[in-house]
Amino acid sequence: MTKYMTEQLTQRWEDYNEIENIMGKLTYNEILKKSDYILDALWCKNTQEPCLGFNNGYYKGYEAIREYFNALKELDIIKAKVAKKMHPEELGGVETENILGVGGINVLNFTTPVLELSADGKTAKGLWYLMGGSGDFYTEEGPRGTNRWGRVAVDFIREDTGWKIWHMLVVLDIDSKMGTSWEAPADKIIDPAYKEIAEFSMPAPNVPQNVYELYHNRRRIKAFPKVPKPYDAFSKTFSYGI
Amino acid sequence: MTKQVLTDDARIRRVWDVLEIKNLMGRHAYYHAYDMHAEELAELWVQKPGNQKTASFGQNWGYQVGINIIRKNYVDLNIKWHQEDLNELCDADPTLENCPENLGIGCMLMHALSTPYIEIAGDGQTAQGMWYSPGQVTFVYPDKVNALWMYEKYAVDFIKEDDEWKIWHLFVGTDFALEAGEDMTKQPVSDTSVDDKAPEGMEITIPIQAYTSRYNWSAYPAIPRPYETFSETISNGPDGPPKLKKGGEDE
Repeated sequence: MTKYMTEQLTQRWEDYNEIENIMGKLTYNEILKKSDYILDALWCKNTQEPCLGFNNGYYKGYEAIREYFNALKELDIIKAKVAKKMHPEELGGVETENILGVGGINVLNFTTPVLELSADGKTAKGLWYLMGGSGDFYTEEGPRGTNRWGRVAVDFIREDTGWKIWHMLVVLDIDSKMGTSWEAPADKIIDPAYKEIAEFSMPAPNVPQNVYELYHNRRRIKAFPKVPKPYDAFSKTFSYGI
Repeated sequence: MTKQVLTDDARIRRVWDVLEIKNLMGRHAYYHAYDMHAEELAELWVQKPGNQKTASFGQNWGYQVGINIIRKNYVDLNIKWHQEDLNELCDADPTLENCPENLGIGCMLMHALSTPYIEIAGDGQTAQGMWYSPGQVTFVYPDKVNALWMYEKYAVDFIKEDDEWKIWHLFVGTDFALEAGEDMTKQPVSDTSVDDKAPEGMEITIPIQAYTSRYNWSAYPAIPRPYETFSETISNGPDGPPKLKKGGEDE
């Protein structure tokens, strides 16, 4: 176990807090649908091979990750337009850009942290449980509440402007309608009144693969993502990216 | 407890004690979910023989005391249960292979840890922590899947061994186990509150109703308070509950 002096411990404590705050900023900016901010302020800028992974694959590289966040914003714009169309008296005169996220809330609630800073102070690794959910009036099914529980693993890197997200994995165990059990997810029933939303699809991961399965009754227990352990330098540990 | 004047070095080390304890409990949560119970006992729990002898795992129905009994239940019995469940599933579904990789198939556990409250002893040798744990457990049977929301209170004593924090006494009090997708008010109280019966086959050193949500509250485990040394505080092991005296006799 590496021994640290007082000054080093103090610096590392400040680093720890800064990294925890990145996850907090992610949560609260997602609620406000600030996808531009999330990408521009929280993600790395000058580091090779950033990566964003989900159950169905990885968005690898800056371009793919940017496309993903741009698509999220595009979807928010479509939803806001649907809301304006449905509620012209209240929303008709409002700029679409000013009501992104109207009628919905997506909460990325992170708990159960394991956060390790490398001994060299250049990188860090974190693992959290995601106990999130959303309530959204504007989905392809119409109004819907969704439980989203899973695991979020992140490699962080220190850049000139501070700590940044380098590799992020968001894998869900549960993605089910509120009020139902996750063991038998309800079928999706598209509501024609929300067809603009149904017609939209997110760009597929540029590295598609079966990263992680949602719960089903024949799913094996999978020790994934790995739990961070103390490490000296990133080259001595595993990566959450590919 | 007398307020000590600490050096800057001692103060920042106590800050790190809290962070290391949070990491330790986070690891416990994932090792449990990943079915890595043997690794958990080897890496996260006490290793010194004297501490292993007094290590405990308390739940609503009482205490397992000593690392050997904890291992027998948490590791060996868990594997036995997985094997028995898999045998039943395979009997009902011939397409399912009865192999070690399928142990625990269809099971999913998630005991998240939120709302930490951690006190480091004045002497820095032990610590006490309390967490609230919303979570879920899901088990599969030949004819159904049992998916439950879980609400639990964690109360833990930690002890430092060779400069590393280790789990010494772990207490998990279950408040509710609620069937997912069902109205809580329609579920019988006997189903939603776990009472004092340990699961079949589990060896319990001190069987006792150590925790119950039947009356809406339980004063034990005690909320941590600042303390100087472990002998001054209320243990989260079997020496702690008001129903027991030290040594496990009824009061």
